[in-house]
Amino acid sequence: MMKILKSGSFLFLFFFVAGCSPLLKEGKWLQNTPFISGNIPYVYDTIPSTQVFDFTMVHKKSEMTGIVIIKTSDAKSRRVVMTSPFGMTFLDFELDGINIKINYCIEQLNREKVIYLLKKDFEILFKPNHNYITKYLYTSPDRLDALEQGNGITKTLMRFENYKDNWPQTILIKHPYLRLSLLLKKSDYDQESL
Amino acid sequence: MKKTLLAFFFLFYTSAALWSQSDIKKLTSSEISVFDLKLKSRAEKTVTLVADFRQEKKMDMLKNKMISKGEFKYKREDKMGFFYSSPMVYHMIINGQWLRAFSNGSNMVFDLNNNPVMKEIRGLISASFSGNLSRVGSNYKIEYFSDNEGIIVSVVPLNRQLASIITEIRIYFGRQNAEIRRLKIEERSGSTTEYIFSNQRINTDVHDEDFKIR
Repeated sequence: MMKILKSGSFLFLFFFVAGCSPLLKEGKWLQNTPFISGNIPYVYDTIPSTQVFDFTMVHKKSEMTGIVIIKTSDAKSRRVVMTSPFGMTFLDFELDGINIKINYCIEQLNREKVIYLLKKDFEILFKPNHNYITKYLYTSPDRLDALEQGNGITKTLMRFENYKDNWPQTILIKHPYLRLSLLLKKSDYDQESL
Repeated sequence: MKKTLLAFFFLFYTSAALWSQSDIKKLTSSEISVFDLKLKSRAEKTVTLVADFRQEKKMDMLKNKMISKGEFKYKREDKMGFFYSSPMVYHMIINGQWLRAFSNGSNMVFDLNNNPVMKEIRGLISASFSGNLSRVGSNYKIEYFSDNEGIIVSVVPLNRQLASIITEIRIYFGRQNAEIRRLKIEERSGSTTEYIFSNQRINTDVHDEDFKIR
């Protein structure tokens, strides 16, 4: 019975997290990874830097594109700014590992639930060993391919692809029950000059 | 006392230097009329316009500006497109009340009536090209200035929704031909986005197909 349940949950995760990716066959799910283990590889650099990603946010049939600029001051402090390709800033916030500080947010987006969802997503991205109940998928011990956190409406799935210099260049964050996804792709902007 | 005098002279000289550098003066009503006529005359001659543009986004968190480039196309009365080619391909086309955003194979169409910010920016650019800047409505406070390079029109939104996003739009026109050279948007967030137009070609071949929405 346990075997059936295990294979059932694996298939469930397979379809939700990985789609048709062959990598999953070689992957390994670590259930309930202890928070204190500290062995979960990071997927976002902690060295102070500024990085730019193109983003596509999809909610049901609506889609919007733009740019995310992430400035890392230290391992805990980051500033995240989301703009349209046309240049207009619509969200600017800072994370310190516990709290969020909104520097600017357009009125249309300034909803507590939206902000807390984004806070949670970026907190997981910056610190994948974030919660006791997170499940992880590896293809090698130092490279995280996917993670899953939460159940039901709070379920969050993330995939990390196109690794270059140890960091994924493509990050997909999905909230299947909310039918909301955020795709981040490392931008062609000259990151060094920023 | 000595220190106070020194501070006074320091302030006096630095302020004087700033004024002479900026060299910006407000236009008189007769100068505004002359400029409006020039703008209208240019607008009457302009059926289409194609220009290269450079977008510069300035933010306090960045050491340098973020630069994007592309081609701008305009066709009288209400068609315009920003065709970004670098660093990403992104097309933003406005045709009447519709806005089409195209990138990476995805195509989205929006009704500008649901996007008041883009609708106002469309209105301002159209008004600048059609020579009706003085008549953009009571939603703005408009002031005219001139500097060494040309005429600067300062547009301050009074509408609450738009003012919560944009604090000021400055449109820079050439003195001789009243052509738009730059468009600078000051945002409530503290950042600025500037569009610099160059290599402007008037009445070249621009087709309706370039502004196709669906």
